[in-house]
Amino acid sequence: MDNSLAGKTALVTGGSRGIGKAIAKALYHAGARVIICGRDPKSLIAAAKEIGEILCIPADVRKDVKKLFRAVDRLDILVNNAGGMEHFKGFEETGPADWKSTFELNLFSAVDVTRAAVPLLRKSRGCIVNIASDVGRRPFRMGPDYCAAKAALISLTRYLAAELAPIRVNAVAPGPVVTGSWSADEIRKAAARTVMKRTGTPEEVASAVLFAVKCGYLNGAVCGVDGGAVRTP
Amino acid sequence: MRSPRRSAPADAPFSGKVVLVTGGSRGIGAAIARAFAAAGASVAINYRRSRKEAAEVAASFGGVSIKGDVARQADKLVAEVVRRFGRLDILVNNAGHSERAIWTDNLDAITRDMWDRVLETDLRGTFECSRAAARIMKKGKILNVTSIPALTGEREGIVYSIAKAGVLGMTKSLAMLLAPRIQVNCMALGSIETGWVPWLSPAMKRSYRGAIPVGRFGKPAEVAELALFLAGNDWVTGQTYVLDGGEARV
Repeated sequence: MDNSLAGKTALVTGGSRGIGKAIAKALYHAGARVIICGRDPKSLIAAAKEIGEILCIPADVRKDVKKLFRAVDRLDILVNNAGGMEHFKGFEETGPADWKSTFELNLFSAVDVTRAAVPLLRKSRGCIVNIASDVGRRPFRMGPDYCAAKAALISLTRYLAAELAPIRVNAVAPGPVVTGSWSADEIRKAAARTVMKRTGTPEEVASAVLFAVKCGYLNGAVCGVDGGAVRTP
Repeated sequence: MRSPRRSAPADAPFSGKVVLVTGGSRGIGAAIARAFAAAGASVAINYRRSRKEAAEVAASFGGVSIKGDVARQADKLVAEVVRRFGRLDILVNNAGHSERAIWTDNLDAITRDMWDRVLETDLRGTFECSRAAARIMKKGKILNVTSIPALTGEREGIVYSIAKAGVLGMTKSLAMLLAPRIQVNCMALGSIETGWVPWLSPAMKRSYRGAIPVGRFGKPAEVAELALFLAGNDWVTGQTYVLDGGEARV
C-alpha cells in the first residue's frame, strides 16, 4: 500500500457517494487522514463503513461551512467535490431561481469552503483540487447554468493558482461517470460522447485527483479525465 | 508530497510492461525512463548521438539503449524493442531537437535548415514513432511532449512553438484514430530544470522564475510523475496536461 500521504489531512466535500467517495478512498489508501462531509448522515456512515477510519461531518456546503470548519483544525488537501446537476432544462426554461440554485451548489459552495480553508492551507503549504466537469471546458447539452457554473469553477482554479501560491490549485474535469441511477439510454448516449465509447469509473477520476495532490509542480492545471470527450483546453 | 522511489517489487504498477522512451540519454527522457523502470517496467531508451550517456542511463536500471533517428528509423527502432522485449506497451515521444540558435527574436535569422532540423525531430519524429508503435501495439499508451509556447506563443522561439503546436494537434487526432485501443496524451511542460537552463543569464533566470507561481523550475522527476499517471489511466485520452508550476494557466 502507498503511504505517500501519511501525516496529511484531507477534506473531501460531497465525499459520501460516487466520485467523492472514490476520492476519499484513494486518499485514505495513500495514507492520508480523511474527513468527508455530506448532507445525508446515512450515506456518510455507509461510506465510512466501506472506507475505514475516516471522520464524517454532516454538513451542507451551501450553508454549514462555519460548522464544518469547527471540526477541521488542520488541513493539507482540500477537494471541492460537492456539486451536481439539479435539473435538466434548456436556456429559456431555466429561470433565475434555477441559475441561483445551480451556482450556489456548484460554485459559491466551493468559494465559501475555500475561503474557510485558505488560512489552514497557508500554514501547511497545502493544495486544492476542484472537481469540475468536461462540460465546463466545452459546453454540452447539460443545461446552461450547470455548464457555466463548472466553467466558472475552472476559471477560479486558474485564478487562484497564481494568487494563492504556494498553495497549489488544480482542477480535475471528469467526463460522464455513472453514479446513482442512470438509464441504459442515458449511459449509451454519454458513452457515445467519448472517443473511448464508454463511460468512466469513479476510481479513474480519483486516480487523477491523487496525481494532482502528489505532483508538486502541477498548478493551475485542468486535468481532463473524460475518455477523450473534450480535447480542447 | 512526492511519491517515494523504491526498487520494483513483483506487483509494481508497470510490472510486465515494455516502455520505449525516445531521446532518453539525459534530462526529462532519462528521468521518465528511470521512473518506469522503478515502477517495474522493462525500459528501452533511444538515442541518436549520445551513445555513452545512453548506455550509462540504461545500465543504471538494467534497461537497453538503442541508436536510431526517430524520424527516419522509427519502424526499425520499434522492431528492435520488440526483438529485445517481445512487445511494446508504452511509447514516450520525448526526443526533441536542441539548438541554442533557434531561440531568437530575429525572424531573418531563422534558416530553412533550422526549420527542417526542429520539425524533423520534434514533429515528424513524434509522428513516425507513434505510427510505428501503433502498428505493433495491441493495447497501449502514447505520451507526447509539448511545451507552453505551443499554447501561448513564444516571441523568441517561433520554430519551436510551431513544432510543439503540431504535436498538440497530432495528439488529439491520434487519440481519435487509435481509440479505444491506444490512449494518446501530451504533456505541456513549462520551465523544467534541464540542459537549456545554463543558456539563461542570471537575470533571465530570475525573470523566468518570477513568472512561475510556485517560485521554481520543475524537476525532470516531476515530469516522470505525470508520465506514469498518464500511462496508468485507461480513460484519459486526447488530453493536454499542463505541468508548469502555474505559469500559463491555460
